[in-house]
Amino acid sequence: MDKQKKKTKKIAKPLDESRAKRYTCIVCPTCCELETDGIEVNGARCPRGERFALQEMVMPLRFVTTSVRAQIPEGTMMIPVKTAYPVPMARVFEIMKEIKALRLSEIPPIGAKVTAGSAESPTEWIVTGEVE
Amino acid sequence: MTTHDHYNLIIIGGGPSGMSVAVGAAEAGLKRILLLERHPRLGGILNQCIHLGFGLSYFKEELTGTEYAFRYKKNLEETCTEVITGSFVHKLTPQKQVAFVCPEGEFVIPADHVVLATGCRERTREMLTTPGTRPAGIFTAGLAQEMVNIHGLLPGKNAVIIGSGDIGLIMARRMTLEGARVLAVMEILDHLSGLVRNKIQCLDDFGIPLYLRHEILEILGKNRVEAVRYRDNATGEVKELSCDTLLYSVGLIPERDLLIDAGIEPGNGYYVSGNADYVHDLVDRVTRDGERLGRSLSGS
Repeated sequence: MDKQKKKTKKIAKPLDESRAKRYTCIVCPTCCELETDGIEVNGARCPRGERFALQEMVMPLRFVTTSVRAQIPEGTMMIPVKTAYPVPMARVFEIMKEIKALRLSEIPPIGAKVTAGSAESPTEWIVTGEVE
Repeated sequence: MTTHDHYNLIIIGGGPSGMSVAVGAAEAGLKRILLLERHPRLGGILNQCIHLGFGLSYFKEELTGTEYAFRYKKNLEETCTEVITGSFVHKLTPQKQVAFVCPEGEFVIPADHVVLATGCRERTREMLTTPGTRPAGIFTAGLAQEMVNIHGLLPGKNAVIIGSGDIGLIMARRMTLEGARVLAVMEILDHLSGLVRNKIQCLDDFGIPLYLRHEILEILGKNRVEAVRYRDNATGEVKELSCDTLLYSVGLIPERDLLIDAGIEPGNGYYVSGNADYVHDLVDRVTRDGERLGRSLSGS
């Protein structure tokens, strides 16, 4: 699957300067400085960084994390959740509105799926923590 | 309460560091290990870290802080470690006796090794001695994080964040997602304190400005914060910014009061681990350091 680690420093590939854009990779704390023209990527120290740059150029995607309210007889509990997949940056506030409107009636276990939003375009969330 | 009247190892603090010391010590063959945690549950600060960015190095997977705590707790559960939650250590003695209170009563228990895994505490407005009034609406970033993520409370609507530490950056995004406006992050230094990836995904993604070389001069407001007066140290210009909330993210201080109060230096069976030793950027490193320390301890 993943190629072997390249020990030697990669040679910069020629880019189409008119389309080239710079990004700082946010995949991991290394924060590689990337440059891409949408076809080739320079500066990435791993394949995930290359994918990040190409995706960032067409449509930035982000995981969203928040906590959702569960109303149980003992009171209100906040349940930590993350989106099951990265969502378009442009939809982040809409997605937040949906999950904020949701009220769970029980405390789901860690790893459980929670669906928010409309039936036509639901967003799936995953419970990320235990609540006592 | 405790099954033994003497332990090979007593660990104070059940966050990522304390748990990893227990795991390492159990691997090294220590049998009597006691872990004391003051909160009702293990996990420490990870329990309020609902954001992603944890575990890339240790678990080879990007996890939230809460997921990391859950996973690591499984490792701890496989060991012989006895855990007492809701227990508060109030005194240490040079003879390596640990005095603590818990719902069952007060205990003084001796150990061969004592590890302080008590984490760190946030620097506050008082420690920076920011002049001005003392209105409501001033929080440390970590406290705000607990309010929002665990208690579902929003500290305010128009916030200024003082300092560009990671918790402040994470809270800039968190407050924005929850519907507050974050007007600026002000940093006195000429560079970011936190990780670059946090500036990008927490500030740049939401158009939140980062003011470098900006210094807070005064907090204004009678009952509630009304504004901050600040200076652009590059130009010397002084300005005011209306806001109702200030979050301080201005550094963390290792918590070692138990040792200091007892007049004990680390060594001679006393150890300090994790953020109580020095402030780490990544929990993965805390875990590795803690396991290493645990493995280095021998039963005697």
